[in-house]
Amino acid sequence: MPESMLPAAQIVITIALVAWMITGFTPLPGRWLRWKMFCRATFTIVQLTGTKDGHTEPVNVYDHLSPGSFILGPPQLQTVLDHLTASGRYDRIDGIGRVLSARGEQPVKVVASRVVL
Amino acid sequence: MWFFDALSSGFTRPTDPGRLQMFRIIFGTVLTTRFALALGQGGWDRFVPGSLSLRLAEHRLGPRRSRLLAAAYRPALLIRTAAALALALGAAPRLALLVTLAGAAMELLYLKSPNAVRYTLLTGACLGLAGDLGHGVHIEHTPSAANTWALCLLVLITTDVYWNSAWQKIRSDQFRSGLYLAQWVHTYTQVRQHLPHRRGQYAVPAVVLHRLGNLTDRDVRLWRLIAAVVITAELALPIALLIPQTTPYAVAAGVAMHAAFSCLKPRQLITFSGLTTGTYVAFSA
Repeated sequence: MPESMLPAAQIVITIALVAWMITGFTPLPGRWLRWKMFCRATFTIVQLTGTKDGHTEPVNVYDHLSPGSFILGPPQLQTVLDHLTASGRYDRIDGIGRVLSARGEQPVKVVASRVVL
Repeated sequence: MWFFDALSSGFTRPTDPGRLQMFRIIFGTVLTTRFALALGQGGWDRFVPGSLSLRLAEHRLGPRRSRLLAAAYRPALLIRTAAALALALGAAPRLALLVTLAGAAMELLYLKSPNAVRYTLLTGACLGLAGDLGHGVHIEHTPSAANTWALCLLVLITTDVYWNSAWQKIRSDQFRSGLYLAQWVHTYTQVRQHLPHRRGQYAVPAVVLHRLGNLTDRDVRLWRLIAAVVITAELALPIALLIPQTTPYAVAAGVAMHAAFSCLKPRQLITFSGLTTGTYVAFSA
């Protein structure tokens, strides 16, 4: 690239970056440059019991989340329940708890491995 | 302010190239720490047969690509850690940077909220566009235009992080009302006995858990005040960092804010807090 082209390329790239940043303040779709951190989440506090061949034991759903995170919404809870039953670890899982979200607090139940709000 | 002078000169204004070289060392150190910590707390055993992580990867990438990822995963963890260390020490910095960024990008395939990875890739790209990364741990201070553009890009990216994150918080009723922080701390008090790998993951002071962890109206009101302080700080920091007279106060306030965030999840926020405060060297002339 000739010397004189370099600043021009730098300016074009910088303007493109700023334009891309501006889209982060609009409803346009995209994942990059949208820094949604610590602003919205659904939390689930739940006590579960797993049954296998007639024996029951407590199930710790938080063991299956990434280390350092306990944010857990009903769909993610259902994914963990599906994993624990599909893998044959339990025949069924039941329990009760509550969901905390932007809408406040709601009770939640787990009946026969299904999340019921 | 040097930033606007640099912009108006079309990035030809000489600046101290050592500021970017300093950021290269901080970047390498932070990423070495992130990558070394990723080996522990179940990280090494990600994608073992029968694990939930493997099932999720199969669901997301399909059987063939998830097998490739599982096979490459452990060697990649080791190679990227060595590369990040080489970058910090300034040994073949460009090659080390490329391998480090590839190793970070791998996490986009499996992390649920990869904001720290995206920020790493963006600031790493700024390093890649710099003219003079330096060699070794020696820092060069003779003014030149080699790193001016890269410094400006770093300032733009960190400014975007603060302002966009403030914007997202302003738009969230859950955050603005104080409910988000109150619910976070309350949930933590309720489930912390059940959390795996607690060492180094949480450092919320006991007094906060007792006094502000009960989800009462008073707690939510106090968290609402803290939410307003966070939004204000995020909006004010980039400007205050650029104005030479306020730079030292802004650095102190920024470091204090990141330290407070880090109490919520110290281990997970090492990358974000380390890199954002690291880019402060790009702001201060």
